[in-house]
Amino acid sequence: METTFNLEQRTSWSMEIKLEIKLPESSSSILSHKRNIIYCIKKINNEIKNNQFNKEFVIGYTLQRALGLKEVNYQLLTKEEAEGLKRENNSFGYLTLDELLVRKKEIDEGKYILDDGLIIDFNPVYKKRELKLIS
Amino acid sequence: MQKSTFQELLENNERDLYRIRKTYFPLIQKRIITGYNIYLTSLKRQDTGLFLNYLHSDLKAEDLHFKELFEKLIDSSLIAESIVVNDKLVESKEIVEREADYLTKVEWENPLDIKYFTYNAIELERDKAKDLDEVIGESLQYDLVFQVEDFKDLRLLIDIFKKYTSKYKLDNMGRKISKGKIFLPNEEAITNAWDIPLLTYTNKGIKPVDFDDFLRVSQYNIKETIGNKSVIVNTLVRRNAQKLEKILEKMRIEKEQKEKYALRVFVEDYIDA
Repeated sequence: METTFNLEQRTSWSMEIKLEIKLPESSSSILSHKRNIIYCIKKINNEIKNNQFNKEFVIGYTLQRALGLKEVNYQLLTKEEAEGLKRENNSFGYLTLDELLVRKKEIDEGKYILDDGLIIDFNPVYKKRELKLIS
Repeated sequence: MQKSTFQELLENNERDLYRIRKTYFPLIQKRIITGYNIYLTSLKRQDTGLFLNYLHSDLKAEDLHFKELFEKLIDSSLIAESIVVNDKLVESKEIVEREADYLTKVEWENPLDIKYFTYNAIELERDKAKDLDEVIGESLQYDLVFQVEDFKDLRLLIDIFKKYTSKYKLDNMGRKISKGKIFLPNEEAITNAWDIPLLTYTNKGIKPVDFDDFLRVSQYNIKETIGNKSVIVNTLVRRNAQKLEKILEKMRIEKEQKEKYALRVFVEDYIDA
């Protein structure tokens, strides 16, 4: 008997992409280190280029608690899938491309003080740039 | 609730706490250490004998974690029903207060009294701390200490902690058991069991054969002063032990190194990760 599948099923099966990510600064979280942010932006952008189904990609991670908290098990996956994992497990979190780009922009604008790429404090003289209307 | 001597000491000596933060936060920033604890008790009692330490934030008499844990321990007949909560060793068990400083995230279930700091030791409002992603949390936590007679009792006690205080199932090697890439949840875990239980034991001499779930680590004890009291800052390291020693030597900080054994999952997935 021949089995047929509709397009939606085939698409969702082939979209089960979960790629493990190894951060360049593995002991820091994604958003706390500039090199990690840039790396994750590149990873998502590459996936978007190769992706034929126009799905949104995010970087997922799991928070594990002992003395303090650490992010572990980074992975590149679709937002849909990440949402599902987040519903099942409250230790799971994810970052979207927008969130990464906002943090990169803030770093570039000088919102934080960095030590070799690691955010260590707020910049006390930072002022958010505001749009001015030309009259 | 009445404040303890230690709590009052911490509250009245912010300047000393700031000095300690300024000294050790850079070591957390460089990931040489993952955090440190400050104790008022000298911990000298642990120099001789066999001790098991369980570190957790919820070990106050009214905490559910504490209540459930003690039910399990009493059921096991390994400890008596009475326990005195103070800063002195009572019979074979005690609960010691510690000020814990460690890397954390604001959005997680942190203790209610937690304070947040930047690596530069500047205290942050909760809302502002959210914006930094990674911050250093500081809160009063606890260290539950048991003195045991021999390795047989120690093994029994460890197995109870492994069975109930880990969010995930642990194997004989002290690692989380996984099915594919999913860690198996521990259905017997008590309220607020951590993903990685912080369990250590102290003894002098060779590790017995059936203790493969524990790895040797170095505990560095450093004398500091808060107000007019002498306190101990301590931290656990394995891979970074030599780096830490060199840095402390450069900073001319005197330290004492002690051998400890820590649950494998804490060493491999946390302090060395």
